[in-house]
Amino acid sequence: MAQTIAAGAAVPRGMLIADAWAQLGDAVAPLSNASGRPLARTVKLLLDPLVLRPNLNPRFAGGLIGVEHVDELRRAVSDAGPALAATAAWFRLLKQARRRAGVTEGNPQDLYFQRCFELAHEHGDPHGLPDAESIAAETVADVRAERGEVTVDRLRRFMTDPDQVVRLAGLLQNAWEDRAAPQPVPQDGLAAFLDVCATRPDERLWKALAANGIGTAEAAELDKPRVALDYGLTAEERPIPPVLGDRASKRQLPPPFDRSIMERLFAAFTAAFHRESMADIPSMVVGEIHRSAAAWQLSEEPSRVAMALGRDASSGIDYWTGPGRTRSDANGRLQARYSREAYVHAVLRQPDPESAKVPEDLKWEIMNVQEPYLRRLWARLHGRELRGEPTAADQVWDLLDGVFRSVLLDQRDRLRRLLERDGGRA
Amino acid sequence: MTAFQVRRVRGMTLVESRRPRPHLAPEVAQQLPPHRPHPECTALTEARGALLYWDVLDRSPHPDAEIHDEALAADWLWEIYGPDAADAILHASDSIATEWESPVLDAARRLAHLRWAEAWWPSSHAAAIPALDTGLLRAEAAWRTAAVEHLLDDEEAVERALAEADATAAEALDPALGASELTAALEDLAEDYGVALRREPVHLRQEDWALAAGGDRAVDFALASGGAPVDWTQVPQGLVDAAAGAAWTLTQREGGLTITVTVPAAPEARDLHLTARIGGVELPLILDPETRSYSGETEAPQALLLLPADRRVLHVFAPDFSVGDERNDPRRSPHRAEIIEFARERLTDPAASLAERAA
Repeated sequence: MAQTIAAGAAVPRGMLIADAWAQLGDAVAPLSNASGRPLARTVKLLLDPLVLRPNLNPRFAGGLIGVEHVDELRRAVSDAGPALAATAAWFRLLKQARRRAGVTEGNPQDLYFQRCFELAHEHGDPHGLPDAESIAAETVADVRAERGEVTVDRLRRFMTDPDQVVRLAGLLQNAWEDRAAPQPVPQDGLAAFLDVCATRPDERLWKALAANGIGTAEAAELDKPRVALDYGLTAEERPIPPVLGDRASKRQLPPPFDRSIMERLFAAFTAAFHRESMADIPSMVVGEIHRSAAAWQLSEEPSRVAMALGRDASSGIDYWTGPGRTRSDANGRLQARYSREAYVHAVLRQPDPESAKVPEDLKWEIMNVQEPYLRRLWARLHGRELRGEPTAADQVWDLLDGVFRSVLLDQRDRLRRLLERDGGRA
Repeated sequence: MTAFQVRRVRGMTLVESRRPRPHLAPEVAQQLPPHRPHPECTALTEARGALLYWDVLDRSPHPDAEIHDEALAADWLWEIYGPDAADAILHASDSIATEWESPVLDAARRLAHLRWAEAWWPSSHAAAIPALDTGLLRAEAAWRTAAVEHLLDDEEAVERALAEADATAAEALDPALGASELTAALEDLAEDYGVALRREPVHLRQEDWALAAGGDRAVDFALASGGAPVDWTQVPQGLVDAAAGAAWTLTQREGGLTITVTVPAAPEARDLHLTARIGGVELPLILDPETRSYSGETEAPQALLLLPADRRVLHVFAPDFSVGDERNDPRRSPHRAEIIEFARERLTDPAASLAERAA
């Protein structure tokens, strides 16, 4: 599939990667899809963060690669070939170990890809390594222990220990009593950043928004009656201190600001996550208590800026009207996505969101999409904070758009399932 | 060779096989919104940065595209149109032509077609188009999704598709059609993505392919009667016979005037209620398995008799599915007959989907 390339041209990054990937052969098949391309998660979890690193190597970023960097990109992939082949071999072993251990929870690609890359660097290729199978079994057991039941159980025991409860309740009360009233600022630059974040993200502007405390300032209005309620962040007239909580379940989590401290941490544990980058349980609980009393109930200024950006980018978005007057480029792009969604609903012959069968809450969320949007954006940012993942300027649009897409796909699934409960053939 | 016009409007790049509105001045036509096919004919794949759609009646191997983010689409556009045409699209050409073939293009098109069939397959007793097995359609869709997951606008597309696939339907498939290949592929995918495959009880086919009973039953004292096609967009797939129309009769009985409405059901129809609306009267229609039709009757005001014919138009919809919008006049949907013909062709086409060939 080698391509000839004219001088001065730019080449699609996907084509270069596909080409370089094909040269690696069958050894990387476990990391490839049926078309022989690297899996979406191979790109997301291995090639981008560990091999090409477009953040550090801007020449490897974007959809098109300058012709002068083509060979270098090819070389970067082919140099990583042995490590990727070993990663693939470890992945195969881990899947076998997982099957033997009867583990079914979670997406193995999310859980093991980066672990396998580490194993590849530590041990090389597992072929001929005498204890490869036991290493694989241990890794599967480790990953399992870090997420899910074991961690949630430790969290529950810590938070229901009578001595701790008294101390933590005191901390929570103090944190909320000491809340500083944030001051609004007149000129804030959010719209300017929203105009460029999808196309030419301005790192300087992004840093300035955080440095000037714009996210915090924009939280000032949340304590006014109905503001946080209208954003879907609470069911209360205005935010009230959360309780510590002693139980949590994946289903029917309340809106973010109404979640107990336990529920907030639980939700983050059960999402795809990397426990090794998180703090120990007592510090996480204390951290969560302080976070709950902070602006937007988030602890990092960039997260708060992202909430303010998400609020502005999602405001006025309507299911029925096409793209009309937009407040920023990002706002226009989200509105355009919602207009496409209405078309996709028609093409997929989905039930009309206003038909009799659609439950009120789903109807409400479709017509007032900013509410589920801000709830999910908050949960994403909260998870990023717990994992200590920073957000760079060029990741903001991916985040704002990705959250919207995920809200819409969930709505679509819910609409689709409505008619199937009635003895559908599916 | 497929030829396309390329134009840029409202921040989008449109790759279109049909010239929009030839009677308009070029500078006006240039500014028109995307020229999308009717939803009933649209096979759609949602890619990163672009919608790709095929008009199933065109039978073109290459889709039209609405590119809303060129940087994202650049990554994979060459797999659909070929490197040269993709390069031309991204570098402001106003037309392209391509003969590109690739397994990725094929998988994207098959996936789009499977989603079309799930939504619009015109199952009908009257036209002898059998119902498709939805579980099998979705099982194949999961398989095709995995082949194009790198270009889809959904990071969880494979998990989503697997979660709704029905492994039993794949296992029950005729081995000659490739049951073992499909089943093995699904099991591998389920393991790779950590999804537990669903297994539904096998649905027994009770169809005997007699034409629907009912139709023009003689009714005493029929004062007026009429019929109308059912708008597909107002009912879910697989409920109403896609080729037959709804019929109404107004009869004089002892108690007064009665209106009766009958709508032939699709093969293997589900028991979902319909609503009929005519001249201001609304009545529920219920599936009668005996006659294989939805029917209902209610008292009608005398005024119904006096209404002019154009205001006595029968409109049928599923209230659980639509709000009964009457904007589309199904009598003005000539493509429906073509879609039924297209479906008939697919039943014997060796390149069709597994569900179509198995039906």
